[in-house]
Amino acid sequence: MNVTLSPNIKISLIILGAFVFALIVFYSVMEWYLINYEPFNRWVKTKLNSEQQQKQIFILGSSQVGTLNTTFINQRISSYNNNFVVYNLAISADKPSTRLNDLNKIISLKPNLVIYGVGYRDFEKISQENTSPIGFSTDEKSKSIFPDPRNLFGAQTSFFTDNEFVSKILNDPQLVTLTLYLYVTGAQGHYPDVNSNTPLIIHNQADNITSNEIIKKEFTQTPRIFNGIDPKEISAFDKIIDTLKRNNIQVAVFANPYNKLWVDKISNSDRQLFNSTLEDAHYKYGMDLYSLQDKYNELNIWTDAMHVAYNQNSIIYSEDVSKIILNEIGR
Amino acid sequence: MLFNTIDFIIFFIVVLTTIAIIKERKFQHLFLLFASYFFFYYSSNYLITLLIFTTIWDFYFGKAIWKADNIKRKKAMLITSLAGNLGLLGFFKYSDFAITQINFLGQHFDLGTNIPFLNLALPIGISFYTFHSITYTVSIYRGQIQPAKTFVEYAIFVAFFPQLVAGPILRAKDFLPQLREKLDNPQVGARLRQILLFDSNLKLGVTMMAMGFLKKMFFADNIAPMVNEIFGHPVGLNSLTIIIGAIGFGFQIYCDFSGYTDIAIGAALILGFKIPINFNKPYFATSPSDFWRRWHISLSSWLRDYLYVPLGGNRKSHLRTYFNLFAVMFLGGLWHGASWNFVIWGVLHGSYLAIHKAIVNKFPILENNKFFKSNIGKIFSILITQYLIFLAWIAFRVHDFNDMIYSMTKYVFFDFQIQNIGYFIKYHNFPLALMVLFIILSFITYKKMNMVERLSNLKHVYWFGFLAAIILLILFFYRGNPEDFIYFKF
Repeated sequence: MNVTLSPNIKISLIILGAFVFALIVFYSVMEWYLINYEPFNRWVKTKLNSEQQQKQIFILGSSQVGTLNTTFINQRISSYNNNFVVYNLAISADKPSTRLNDLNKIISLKPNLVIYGVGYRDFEKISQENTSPIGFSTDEKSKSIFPDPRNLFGAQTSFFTDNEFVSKILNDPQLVTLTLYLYVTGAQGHYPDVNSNTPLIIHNQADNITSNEIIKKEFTQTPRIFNGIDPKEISAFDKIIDTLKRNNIQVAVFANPYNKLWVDKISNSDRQLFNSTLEDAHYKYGMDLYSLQDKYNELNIWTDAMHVAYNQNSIIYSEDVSKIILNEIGR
Repeated sequence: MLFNTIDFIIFFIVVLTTIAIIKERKFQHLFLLFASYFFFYYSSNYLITLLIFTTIWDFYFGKAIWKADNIKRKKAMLITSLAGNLGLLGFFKYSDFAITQINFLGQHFDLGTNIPFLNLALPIGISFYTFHSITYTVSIYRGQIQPAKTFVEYAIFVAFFPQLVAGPILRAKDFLPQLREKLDNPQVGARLRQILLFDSNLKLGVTMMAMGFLKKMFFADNIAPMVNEIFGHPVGLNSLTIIIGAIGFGFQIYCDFSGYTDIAIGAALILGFKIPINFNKPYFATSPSDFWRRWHISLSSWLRDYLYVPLGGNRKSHLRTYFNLFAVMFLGGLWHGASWNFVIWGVLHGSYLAIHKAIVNKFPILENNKFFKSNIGKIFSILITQYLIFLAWIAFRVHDFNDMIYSMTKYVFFDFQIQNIGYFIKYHNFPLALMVLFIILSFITYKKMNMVERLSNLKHVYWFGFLAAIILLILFFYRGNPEDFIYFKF
């Protein structure tokens, strides 16, 4: 039987076919990257294949934790106790909900101690600014008496965010594509070194301290709106601590340091919610809680309003985390 | 709603499907209006009330102007209508800018003025829909069109979603007849036009949209981080870096804005509406006036017809012509945003146009000079023109006055410092590669006319390959947190 399709249907099918074909190619290439090249998976593979003599300490967190000097921390720890090796597993833009996807792999490596650095940004709601060109700030949205139709899409999309492919690929496919290109072509130095103690982040050795004046100027020019704390992140954080504890892994949490400019942007209610989340976990799971939140906010050790510089003159941050680790392993 | 989101793709598919199902013209129009309002409400929320206010205001003033029995009354009605439109635009867009200037002057003259800011949210697309609306009342006043037959038709003209937030700026006389044209089509008979989805329009429209998405999501969004880094803190950078930044921004804003326009024109075409082109290879312009015949054509022609000509255009003295050009571009700059950097950008373009006009007036022989007609002469003209255009882009991009002066000085006075350029190229190799690719593609499209039409006429199998390639490029090079369309802010 001959079926004649109308031209419009034919064209629509071609468009649909092109979409499906492109999605299949994209998904296949990215899945191949995830399995073979994604830094965390690569590092886990390397670790599982190597024999571990020393007890392992993992530091988890986002880029704020990434600026810790792990070489310095290891030197500090080994001068007191030679049995431990510290790995800084910080990942840029990490959040509890994305870290949760990797938790089983972390547990499979059987660390003795996990130090988790979290801050306001780790618990922050995903900004919808990119769908609102003029950028209704949270305040402006709350002023409106009309419902926000984007919430409909928001509710659906959150369903799809809790998996590795979304958190590691779809958050920034361009970065993955370029990294994959570098891996495949064998170019050096643009991706994290799996054999280092900071295997998931690239340190820029020239990460200079920026003067407070310039940080203030930058911050005023492009003011950062804090989108509020996301209950989903609180629940993911709780689940991470719970799972680590259930697997008999010692855990301690520290609140990340922030520059004063940034802290001033946080509302009192968000501040209270953040602090109470950490305190609740402290009482619930009996883990130690440390706060570096306001400790350096007036010091000249920052590269921007959120990150302590990865720099010899900012070593106070790594020194304090070393003390936390020493305190924990001395227990 | 942003074009470069999944939300828009879903929205557009739903709109097309519903239009295809509804056969009745009136219901199609009602649905199109509802869809346009939803599109606007999606990201503007309560600010949709301003759009509705503007629509009602001009619909009734349009009728009043038409019915007015003497020119005095017509004029009074037109002035009231314009005052409403421009008052709304001025209040929402320029209040805080004016307050800043008043406070500054107050401090300067020690008057102790400190008026608090209103901190109003800038309504999306207000500059565009205000200008759409003005074309309607002015055209009725000039006797070029009759008032729209129904409120729905007029409301569609103002709110038609493909062009609502960033143009192209529609003329009532071009768009309104499209809603009422009689068709002698065997499919529909001789009656008022209903919205039909034709396969030729669908293929051409999708090709245009694909090109628009490619320009925005592949080129503009991937060049933007380098430009942002350069112009975030330009002080201390060498001339070469500033020049690369200026060229990068020129390419970024072209891909961003013309990408938006391509998507808008493509989406409108699929729905069977023709909206005017906005760009015609602007970086091949051979003079400042040629540039404005190629860049943001709908705005430049609007400024010409509704500002330059009423001011006297070139019908009066030479000096008055130069002043008119300068004044129009000054206001054009201010139209872009309530900030001095846009004013400076407008002033620069006003100066370019006035000086170019003065040279042409003084040395008319130059226009027919053999050298300028030759290929080398053309290349020479293009390079000189673009050097000036990219200088002006610095003013457009850099908001901090000191940063702007530094960048422009470095652009004009080359410092021959190239020691860190190797590191710069290594660090920004991808956006730089895209800039080179953009130049190559621009040359190809310059030589081969009607590229989009050629692509849409490809055999189905090749067209499938073209679409798949574009989607793959976008998927692989999509940045997680893409830039907003630059012109959404205006």
